[in-house]
Amino acid sequence: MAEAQRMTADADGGMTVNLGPQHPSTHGVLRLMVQLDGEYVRSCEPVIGYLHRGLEKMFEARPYRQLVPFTDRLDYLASLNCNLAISQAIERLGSVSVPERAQYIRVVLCELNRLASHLVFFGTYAQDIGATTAFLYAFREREKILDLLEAMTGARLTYNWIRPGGVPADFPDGFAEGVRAFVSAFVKELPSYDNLLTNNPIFRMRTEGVGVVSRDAAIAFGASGPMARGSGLDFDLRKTEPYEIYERLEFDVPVFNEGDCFARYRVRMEETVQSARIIEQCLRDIPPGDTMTKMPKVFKPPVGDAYSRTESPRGELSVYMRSNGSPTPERVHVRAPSFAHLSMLPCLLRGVKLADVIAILGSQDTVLGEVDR
Amino acid sequence: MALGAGEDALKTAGGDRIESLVADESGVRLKVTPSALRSVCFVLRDHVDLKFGYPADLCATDTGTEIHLWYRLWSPEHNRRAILDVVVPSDSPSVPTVSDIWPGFDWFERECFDMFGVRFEGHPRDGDPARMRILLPEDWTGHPFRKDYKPVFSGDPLHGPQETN
Amino acid sequence: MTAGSAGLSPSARGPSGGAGIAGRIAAGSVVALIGLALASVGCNLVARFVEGSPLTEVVGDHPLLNALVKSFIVANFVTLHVLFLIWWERKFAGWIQARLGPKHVGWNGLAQTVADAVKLLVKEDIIPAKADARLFVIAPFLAFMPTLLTFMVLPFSATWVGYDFGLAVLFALAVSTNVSLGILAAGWGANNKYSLLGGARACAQVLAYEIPLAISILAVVAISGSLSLVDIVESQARLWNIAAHAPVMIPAFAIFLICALAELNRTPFDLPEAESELVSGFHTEYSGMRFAFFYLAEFANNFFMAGLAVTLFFGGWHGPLLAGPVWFTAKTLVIVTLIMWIRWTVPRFRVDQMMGFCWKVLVPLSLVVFCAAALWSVRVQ
Repeated sequence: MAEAQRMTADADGGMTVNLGPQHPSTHGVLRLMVQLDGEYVRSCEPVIGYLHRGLEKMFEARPYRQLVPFTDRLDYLASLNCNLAISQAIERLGSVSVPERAQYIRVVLCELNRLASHLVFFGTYAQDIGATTAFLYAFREREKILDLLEAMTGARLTYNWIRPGGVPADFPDGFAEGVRAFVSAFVKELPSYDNLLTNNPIFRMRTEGVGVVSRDAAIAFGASGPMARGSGLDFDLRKTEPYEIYERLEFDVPVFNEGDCFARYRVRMEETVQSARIIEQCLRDIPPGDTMTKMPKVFKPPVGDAYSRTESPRGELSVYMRSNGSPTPERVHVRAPSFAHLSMLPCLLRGVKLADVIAILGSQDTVLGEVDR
Repeated sequence: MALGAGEDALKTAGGDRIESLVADESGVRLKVTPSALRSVCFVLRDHVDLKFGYPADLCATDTGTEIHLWYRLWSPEHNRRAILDVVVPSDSPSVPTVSDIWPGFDWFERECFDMFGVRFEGHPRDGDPARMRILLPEDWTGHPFRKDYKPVFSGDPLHGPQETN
Repeated sequence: MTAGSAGLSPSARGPSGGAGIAGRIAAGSVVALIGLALASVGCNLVARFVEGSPLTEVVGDHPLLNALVKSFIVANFVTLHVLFLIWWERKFAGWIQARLGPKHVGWNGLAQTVADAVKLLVKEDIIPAKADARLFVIAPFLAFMPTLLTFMVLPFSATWVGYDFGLAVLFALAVSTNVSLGILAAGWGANNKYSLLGGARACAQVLAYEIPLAISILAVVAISGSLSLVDIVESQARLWNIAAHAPVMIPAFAIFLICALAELNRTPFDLPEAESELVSGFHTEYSGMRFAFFYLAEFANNFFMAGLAVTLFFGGWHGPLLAGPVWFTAKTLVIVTLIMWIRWTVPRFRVDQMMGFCWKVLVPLSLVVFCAAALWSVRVQ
């Protein structure tokens, strides 16, 4: 262990502060080496890899159907979306068709997960800015979603429920009614939660004009999801390249042009309302039928590759999968939205005040599981 | 032609270094040699019919003798996808960087180096392997996703194999 | 295959409906009133005992013994009361956040703070390597001592006051500023850049907000005509200041409250200990009893500032039926609850916004209020 040092200033008079890897606000094990000049950030370097588990290499050693539980640990706040991404890739490799009812169920589950993930964002972002109470309200609502998902899948965070071929089982008794009741109650209560922050002058002072990402910068860095839609880039994979049954659904994609933290926050809040709409439509239109296409015990897809793109709560989550005819994949690559967003940080944080660093980091809503894999 | 004048521009930029080019309504897939990469990329990004300004993904696969790289791009204006394949020999893989063309590829290139040992000439951290690595610790030796990687755990699993493979 | 129906009803809401809450408020009020009445009786008994006993004559005349006894009483009162305040903060925060707060340790969680204090006492005393050990060790005391000192001039009733003299207000202001010395020492001594940032921010904040605080207090002084806190309260014998001179006192109280929040490092001004940014700000490196001192100092300061507000604006110990000290404590607790309410509702300011607000808004506003108070006092006289 290195000997402790008396803290010193840098040679040019600035101060290097380490934000993380253990820090209440970096939302995971992210290390930000920030060079400060008083309160202003001169430069910053994100250091990642603390959560690197070599998932992509582990995928190469396992049969296809064992890959899904690993993806839970990627974006663990929206694990059903990750399950969906890899299941779609496997299905495309093997040309497996998914029954229609299963597709509806998948959409319902993914949108519920999106709601839960955005609630976590709402609570933790409020807490980062200082309003601790909103955190508890958000988690109380999320608890209801987790109860519903636990009744269906048996798990609260890592669901492992969207598998190649469909979903393992149908809705349990009372699930649809429970979801409908929750969604209608949530939509009624959302304005009061939103009000806590959106109409709060201090919150707006902290987030408006802070961390502005121009549309060109968003495109050049590969920003997706709310990061892109908060900067005026109308890019939602559910609309531009629909998967599952999204093209049958009616929903809006909120886009704000300011590009600041407040715009990204508004995008996510509006998205929760749209998710509620999607869930209601799915529950209304869901057809009866099978929930799973039988997959062979040893799944050996033909040689080739497949690419699956999904819109996770964070952005474009894609999985590339390559098969060489054997029971295990030759290569699996996961493209995580938070990876691209974090790479924007050095540019985004230059010249910004220290308190704004936290606001900007929170508004990116990164999950280190998918960044580090 | 599905891409209009864009296809011609690509052929002009790459010449015979474009090994294959397939274009349709949904996008273009082309395979180039490393030397043509940058000129083709500029055309892909800037030409008015192409406008692939969004860097989606950079992935690499080790097939034993070769490392296949491919770049995925998207055009916000035309809602089209582009896939760029580049193949390099796996003993000393080296490719010019595109991180100045699309800043989003910066970290993807770092990850590619970290896992496959592919050198990206011109990258700001090129030549400094410790700083170029992104996911693995700076003092890690070896590139794990390569087929010839043999992990040797000598004591401390946090710092990877201490001898070269 | 169904997967069971556990937890499907959307009834994961709070415990009870409207009738239950009204019933609980009624029950709580009754308990509070009974408690206040008993406390009143207790205060009267103590006062009679103290006045009648021969011990008082001996101690009352001897300056050193007098000072020692009074300091002993004040110090004990402050520390014990802080235990109660911490419990109240946690309960109140819990209710705002739709949960219950401490419940298990002691009746309704009252002994929770005692349990926490014991835990903190038995913790390992860590002094970071290369920390400035002298500063690091002395900082908690530097933070706690001024708070104790200020309690000497806080009047709980006409006779229940540590030491009232003609310059009590000035004394209170001057001494309470010294807390920033302790914060700065903690920030520097801990060999931690987070602490340094927190300490620097705290110092800047406290010094900046002292000015509108002092000016708003001066507005009250201008109308009451005396710097002695006992005299200020006596001048409110008929009607509280905030009602008697409302057009001036209400803005003065508003400014006082905002500045008090800043002095106390309370949200929305809690940047120095902004948990999400600086881990714990200037007390990041403190653990065990040293940390407890900062915590105690913060809550004691809370009580003092609220007590000062009650003294200046809300009639001090005046009130029907119940004894003076009981009224004073009750009113102070109401103000403390208001401070807590603000803390758990509002997000925090950024440094430059906070400083800008002070210098560009509060200082001019407090000067205007002071001039208005001066004119009003001429009118009143």
